[in-house]
Amino acid sequence: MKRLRIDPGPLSQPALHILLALGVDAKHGYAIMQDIAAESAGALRLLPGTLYSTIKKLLADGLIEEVDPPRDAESDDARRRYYKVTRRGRLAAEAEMRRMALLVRLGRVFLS
Amino acid sequence: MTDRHPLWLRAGLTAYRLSCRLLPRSFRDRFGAEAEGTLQDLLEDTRRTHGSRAAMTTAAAACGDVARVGVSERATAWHSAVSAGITSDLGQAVRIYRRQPGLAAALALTLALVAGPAVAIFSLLYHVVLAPLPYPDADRLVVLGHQTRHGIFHYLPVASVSDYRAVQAFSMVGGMFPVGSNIGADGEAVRVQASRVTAGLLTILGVPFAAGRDLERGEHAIVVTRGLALARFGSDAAVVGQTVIFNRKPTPIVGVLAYSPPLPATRAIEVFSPHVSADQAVPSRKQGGQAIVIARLRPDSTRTAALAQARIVASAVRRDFGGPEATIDLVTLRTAVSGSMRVPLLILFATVLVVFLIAVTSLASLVLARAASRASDVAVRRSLGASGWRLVRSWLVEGAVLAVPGTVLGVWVGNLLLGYTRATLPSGILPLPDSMEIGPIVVGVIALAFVSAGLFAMAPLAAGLLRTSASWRDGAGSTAGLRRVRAQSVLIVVQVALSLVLVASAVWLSTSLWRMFSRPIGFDPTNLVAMQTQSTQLNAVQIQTARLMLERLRPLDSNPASGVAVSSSLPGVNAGRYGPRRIRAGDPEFTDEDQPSLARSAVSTDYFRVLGIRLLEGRTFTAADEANPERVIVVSRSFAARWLPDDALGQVLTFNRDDRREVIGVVEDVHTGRLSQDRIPQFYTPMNDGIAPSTYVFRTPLAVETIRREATTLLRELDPTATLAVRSLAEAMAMPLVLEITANRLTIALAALALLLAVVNVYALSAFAVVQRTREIGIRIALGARAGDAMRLVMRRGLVWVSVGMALGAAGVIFLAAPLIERQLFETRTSDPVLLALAFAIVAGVAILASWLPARRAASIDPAVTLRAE
Repeated sequence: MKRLRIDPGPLSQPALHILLALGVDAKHGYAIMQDIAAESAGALRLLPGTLYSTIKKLLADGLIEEVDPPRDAESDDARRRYYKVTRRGRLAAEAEMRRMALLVRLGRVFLS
Repeated sequence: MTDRHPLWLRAGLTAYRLSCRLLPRSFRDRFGAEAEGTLQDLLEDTRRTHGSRAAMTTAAAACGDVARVGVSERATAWHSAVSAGITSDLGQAVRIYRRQPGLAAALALTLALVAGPAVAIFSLLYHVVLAPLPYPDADRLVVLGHQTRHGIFHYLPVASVSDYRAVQAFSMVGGMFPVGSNIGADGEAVRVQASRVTAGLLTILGVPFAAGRDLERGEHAIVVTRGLALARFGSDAAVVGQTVIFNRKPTPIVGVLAYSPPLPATRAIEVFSPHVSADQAVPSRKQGGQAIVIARLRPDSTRTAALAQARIVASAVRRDFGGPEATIDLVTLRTAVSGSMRVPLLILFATVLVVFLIAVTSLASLVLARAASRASDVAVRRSLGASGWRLVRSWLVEGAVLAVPGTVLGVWVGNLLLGYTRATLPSGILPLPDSMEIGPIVVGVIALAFVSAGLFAMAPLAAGLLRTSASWRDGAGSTAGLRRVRAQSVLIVVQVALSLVLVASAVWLSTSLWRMFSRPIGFDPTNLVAMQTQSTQLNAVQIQTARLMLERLRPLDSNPASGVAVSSSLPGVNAGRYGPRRIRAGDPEFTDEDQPSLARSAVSTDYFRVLGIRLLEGRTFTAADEANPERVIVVSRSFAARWLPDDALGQVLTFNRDDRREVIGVVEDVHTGRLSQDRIPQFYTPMNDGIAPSTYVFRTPLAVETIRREATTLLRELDPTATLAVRSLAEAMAMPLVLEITANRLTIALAALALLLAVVNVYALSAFAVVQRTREIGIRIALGARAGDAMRLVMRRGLVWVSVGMALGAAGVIFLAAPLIERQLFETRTSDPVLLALAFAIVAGVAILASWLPARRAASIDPAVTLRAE
C-alpha cells in the first residue's frame, strides 16, 4: 500500500471542484463533469484528459475512493466507475476553502 | 457499437484515441475506457443541446487536453521511474561487488593507476598552457617576434619599443629583458632572476602592487615581488624605501608586486629594474641591447589589424636603419609564456590519454570475460520484462560504482606524481603548480569517470548479451561465446594499434636522446664537479679571488689524477660568445650577416689537463702566459679548420682593432650549449684576460657534498657578495635536457604499460581458444595432427587480429605520431627503417610470445585424456 502524504497541500482548481462536486453522493466521471459545468454556470468545463488525470491524483492521495455503482444507477454502461470523497478529502477541501477565505479577506482589505 | 454512431462522432473519437497514445500505458489501462465513455456522453449531450458544430469543437478541445495531460503524465512517470531505478541499480551493483571484493578492488586500482598520470599531466597542461594568465584582459596582451626556422624569436632591439608605440592598434607597448642578478643586504647576496623593464611595463600588464609604486622613467630603483621580500627581507610592505645592494650598487626598493608575474623567461622573475636605454634617445639601433616587446591591444582592435600595422612599422624601421630581413609576428602572451613547453606537454597528454583508453578497454574486456557467466542473469531479467535500456542503465551504474572511486583515487595518485615531479625536477625548469587546479581537475575527473563507466557498460553490450538473451528466451541456443571472442578481437586490434604508436614514439625518443648523449663532447665528464659562482665584484677582484680559491681548493684532493681549474664558462653547458671583426689583420671585416659567433673562455693553466681536453698541436697556457694574457691564444680544432687550415701554430690573430694574439696551441672541440646544438668554433685565453672567472671544475672522486661545503665556506670568506652553485658536471649537462629525459622516461613507461595490457588480451584470447577447442584439438591429434599443427590452430586466430592491429597502428605511426614527434628529435628520422622495424619487432615479438604460451599447452593435449573427460 502506498503511503499517503500527511498533508496533500494546496489543491489544484480542478481537484477542488471535483471534491465539491462529489460532496454528497458517489458519482461517475461524466456526472462530475456535468455538475461542475452546472455549478459554475458553464464557466468551468473539465475535459476527460484533465478530469481523469486529476481523479488519478486524488485517488493516489487518498482524497477520493472508488465505490460500487449505486443500485439506482440510471445507466448500465459497464465502463462507468463511481467515486466518493473520503474523510481525508473532506478535510483537504475544508482546508482549501479556509485558504481561499483568507485570500478573499486579504483581497478585500487590499482593494478597499 | 461504433457503427451506431454518426460519422463525425466516430472521427472525433478516433482522433481522441490517437491523442490518448501519448498517455502512459498504466494510465490508459486504468482510465482509458472510462474516459472514452465520458467523452462519448459529453459529445452526444453537447450535440443535443448545442448542435453538431459545438460537439465537434468540444471533440477537438478534448484531443488537445488529453495530449497535454499525456505529456505531463509521461514526464512525471519517467522521472519517478528513473530515480527509483537508479537507486535499485546502485544497490544491485554494490551487492555484485561485495560478492567479489578482490575483482572490484583490482578494477578500481587499475583505473586509479592510469587515471593518476592523466590527471597529473592534465593539471600540468592546464597550468602551463591553458590557464589564463593572472592579468586583467590577459587575452589582449601580445608579444612581438621574428619568425625563424625554429619558431618565434622574441628578442628585438630595445629601440623598437618606441617604434611600435606608433601602432594604432596597441594601447600600450613595453619591453623586458630577463637577466640573472645578485641582490643582497648586509653583505650576503643571492642570485635571482631579474628583468630590466621599460617604464610602464608593469602597468601594461596590470600586475597588482602589494605596496609602493611602479618604476618611473630613468629612475634608479627596483621593484621586487612579495615572495622575495618575505623570503629575503622578512616583510613585504616595510621593504618599500629600503636600500639594498643590487648588482653591486645601492638601490632603493620602490614597490612590491603581489606575485611574480608570469613572463616569457625561463624562471620566475623576482626583481624588476629599469631598462634605462629603452627610454633614452638611442643613437644607433645596435646599441641599447635587446628586449622582448609586449603590447596591449586596444579593446576595439584585433590581432590581425595589429599585426598588419606592426609589419608596416617594421618595414619602415628596416628601411631607415637597416637590419635583418625577417617577418614580424604576433603571439599572445599566454603562448609566449608557455613557449617550448606547449608541444611536449600536448604530446604527453595525448599519450597519457591513449594509455588511459587502452587501460579502460582492457578493464572492459575483463568485465567482458565475466559477462558470459551472467548471460542467464540477463536472460532472467529480460524475461521478467526489463527493457534493453533498463539493462544498459544498470551496467552503466555498475561501471560508475567502480569508476568514481577509481578516478577519485586517481586524483590522489596524480597529486602524488606532481609532488614527486616537483621534488625531482630542478626548480625553475617547469612552472609547476603548487597543487592541482581544482576546477579543471573536477571537470577532467568527471569526464574520466563517465568515459570509464560508459566503457564498462559497453562490455556486456559488445558481448551481444542483449540479443543473446532474447534468442535464449526463444530457445534458439546461445552464441555468446562467439560474440565475446569477436568483441575481444576488436579490443586487441585497438590495443595493438595504440601500443605500436607508443612503442614507435618511445623508440624514436630514446634513440634521439641516446644520440644526443653519445655525441663526443671533447672531454671526460666523469668525476667532474662544477661550481658556478656569480659575483658582483670587479673582474680584477674576481680573478684575484679565483687564484686564492684554486690555491685553497687544490689541497682537498692531492691525488695526481685529480685537479681543479677555473674558467669563464661551464664546459659542456655554456660559453661566453664573441663576435670578431675579422680573424687576421689582413682579412676583410665581417659583415653583419657573416660575422661568426665564437665561444670564448678565459681559463686557468690547468684547465685542459683537468678536463682532459686533448691537445692536438703546440702547447697550452703556462704561468708565464698569465703575465701577458693578451699575447697568446689557444684555438679549437674547428676554429683552426675553418680559418687557419694550413698551419695554425704561430699565426697572429687580430679580432678587433689592433690586438695581436699568437696561436700557441690547437685543442679538441668541446661541446657547449644543449647537447642537441651544433658545435661552434672556440678559442681560449689565459685567466688574466679581463673576463670574470665564473666556474671552477674539480676532477675528484670526492662527494659533491664535501666539495660544496668546503668551497662555500672558502668563498664566503673571500668574497661575501658571491653566490655559489655546486653540482656534478654530468648533472649540469643533463639539466637543459631534463624535460626531454623525463618525457622519454614517461613515454617508455606508458608504451610498456600499453603493450602489457594488449599482451594480456592476446594471451587471454589464445587461452580461451585452447579451452574452447580442447576437444577438437584432441581429436585432431588423435587423427595424426602434429603438435605444430595444433599450435598453429590456436595461434592463428590471435595473430590474425594482431596483424590487423599492427596495420592500423602503422597508419597511426605514419600519419599521427611521426608528424607530431619529428620536430622533437635530434639526428633521428621518424622514417628511419631500422627504428620502425625495431618498433614493429618489439610489438610483434611480444604478441607472438603471448599467443605462443597458451598454444604450447594446446600442443601438449593428450587425446586420450581429453576424450575420456568428455
